[in-house]
Amino acid sequence: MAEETLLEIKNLVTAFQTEAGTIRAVEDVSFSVKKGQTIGLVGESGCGKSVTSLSIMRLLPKPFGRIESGEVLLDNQDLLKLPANEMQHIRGNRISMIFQEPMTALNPVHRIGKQIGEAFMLHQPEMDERTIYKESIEMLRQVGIPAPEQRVQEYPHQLSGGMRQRVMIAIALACKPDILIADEPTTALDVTIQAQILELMKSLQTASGMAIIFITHDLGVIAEVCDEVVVMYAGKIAEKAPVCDLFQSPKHPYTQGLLSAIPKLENPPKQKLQTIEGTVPDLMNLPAGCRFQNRCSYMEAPCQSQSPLLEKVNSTHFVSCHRWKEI
Amino acid sequence: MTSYFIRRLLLVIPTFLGITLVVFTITRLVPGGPIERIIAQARQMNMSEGNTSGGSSLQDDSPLSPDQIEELKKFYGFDKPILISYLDWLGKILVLDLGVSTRYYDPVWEIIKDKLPVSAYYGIVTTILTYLVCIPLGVLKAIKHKSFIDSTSSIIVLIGYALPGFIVAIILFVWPAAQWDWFPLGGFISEDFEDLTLAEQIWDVIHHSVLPLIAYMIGGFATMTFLMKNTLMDHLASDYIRTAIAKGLSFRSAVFKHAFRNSLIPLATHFGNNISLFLAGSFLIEKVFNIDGLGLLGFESLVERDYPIVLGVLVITSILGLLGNILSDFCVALVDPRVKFD
Repeated sequence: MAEETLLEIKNLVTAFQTEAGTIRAVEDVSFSVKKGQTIGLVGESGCGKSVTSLSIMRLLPKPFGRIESGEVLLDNQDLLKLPANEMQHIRGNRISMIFQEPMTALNPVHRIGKQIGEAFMLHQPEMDERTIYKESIEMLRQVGIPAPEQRVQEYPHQLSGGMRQRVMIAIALACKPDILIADEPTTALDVTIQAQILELMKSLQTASGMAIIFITHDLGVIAEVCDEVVVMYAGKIAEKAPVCDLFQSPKHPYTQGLLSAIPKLENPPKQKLQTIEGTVPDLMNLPAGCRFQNRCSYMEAPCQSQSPLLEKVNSTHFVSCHRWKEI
Repeated sequence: MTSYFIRRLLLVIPTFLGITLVVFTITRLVPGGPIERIIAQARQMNMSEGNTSGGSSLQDDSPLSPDQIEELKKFYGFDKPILISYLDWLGKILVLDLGVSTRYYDPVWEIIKDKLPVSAYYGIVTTILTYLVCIPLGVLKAIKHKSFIDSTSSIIVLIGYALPGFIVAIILFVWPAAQWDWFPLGGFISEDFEDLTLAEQIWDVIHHSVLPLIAYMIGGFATMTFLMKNTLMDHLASDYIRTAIAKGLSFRSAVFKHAFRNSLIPLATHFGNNISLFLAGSFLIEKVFNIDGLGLLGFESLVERDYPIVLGVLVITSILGLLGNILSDFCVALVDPRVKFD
């Protein structure tokens, strides 16, 4: 398959200045996104998945967050080296982003229409106000908001959470981006709305052919929407594989743990749930060697001294574990 | 919305009645008053004439006969119970008759009317200038948080906040006005004001008001500036600013198009109160700069127990305060669409 690589992240390292010192929230992360593909970034809280996405958008909180090294190549152009004003043309135009919390992600004092229209005004300055208004209504219709002519005049507080996330998607997709970064877009919504939003994103993707980077901690969502999955642990990639491979033959003990922690319907009732013992290591003082060692049942001597590298299982499946062949 | 404001306006009435009834009662209960003043005056007159009439009157408790005192009480309405005389007073207020000063024997309204332009000038100019300084300064401090400008302006603003206005007034009076002769020593306008051209008149007013305005405002910057800075910083860290930047806005436009209006909401709640607060003036600053405003008038009347003026000033300031509150509500509704009054 001659799929075109759209976005390539190479050896990304992102650090945060804290009062206690510098911590590396993302270390040596590389993956690529092909046209029309959906990549899932999965991992528990603090594993660096959101920081990775914010680094791509260069939206890290200033002045604490800083990209130390690496490249983010969009059509072979390094976004990290772009001047600020050129980056503004990328954001919202070629790469858009939606966030976890739809309740606070919209400006409370501006009308919905104005907030969608702003994206058009920024990236398609040739459009006049009437066209922008019509297009905004059209966007609301596309994301499945009933009575868009009326909603466009309303303020965010007049909409429900699901509606607001749809508005966020409308804003993000207004300028037909090549890539949509969705940072836990369904986490704050209840399950039925989650399903609707996922369905909506999938159908919009089919219609527009955009790529999606989907960040979540919900493996169920990953299985539903993603083509490829990147599992992150403590700032590093643990495993990277096509979604079927990952669910059928997970190689990393962490991925295996995550998958076995999902309760299954065929399990006998009132059974103790599977967990991964222990907690994520403190990024301030990481252990030497593998970062997963203190929670890993396969830990051996080399795990404590040598950091595992991302090894090739096959042409599409990569894992970062010393003992993946044995387990 | 209209019905809400009509309701608010109607609520002014009971509040106003409450304020005035309490103050009216206090003026009746505290010792001293116009009758005591007249007695004291009469005693003084007796003392100066004492050489001829002998020492007998000095031993009297009062230089006036009980009949005369009774007559005076009747004249000032002290013969009636508090509530009745309050209602009498209120009845006159309704036809805009604030009574007659017990010191100057002039109608109270005439006296207040003379001072009102001066107070209104200082009140309005102070409010406008405070907002004009505090909003841009707060924005600058929020954007340049922890920079040199931020820290120095904080120090200056906080020193201003810590200094009482009248101390600043005295310092300004002693050096820039008296020693260096940069500004007039006080007053609202020059004596030859009538003979000046319009441009000169405007300059004259400004020249006279620079120092008092500094003294009035210097303490007021801190609250508003920090309120602006802190709310703006809160909003800059909020999710919708990230959304705006993710949309492709520059940081600067995100600040001014998105965060700014949200940050004005808490400031808007103060607007009406501020304007009425400054209008009432500060008698100490008025005293230092010899400005004939409401603050000084109210204070002197209180010292001299000139109750009609005290109550008259109270009527003006409390109505302004109550209307100021409604104005604040209106300002909030103006900037925040979530606020609905029904």
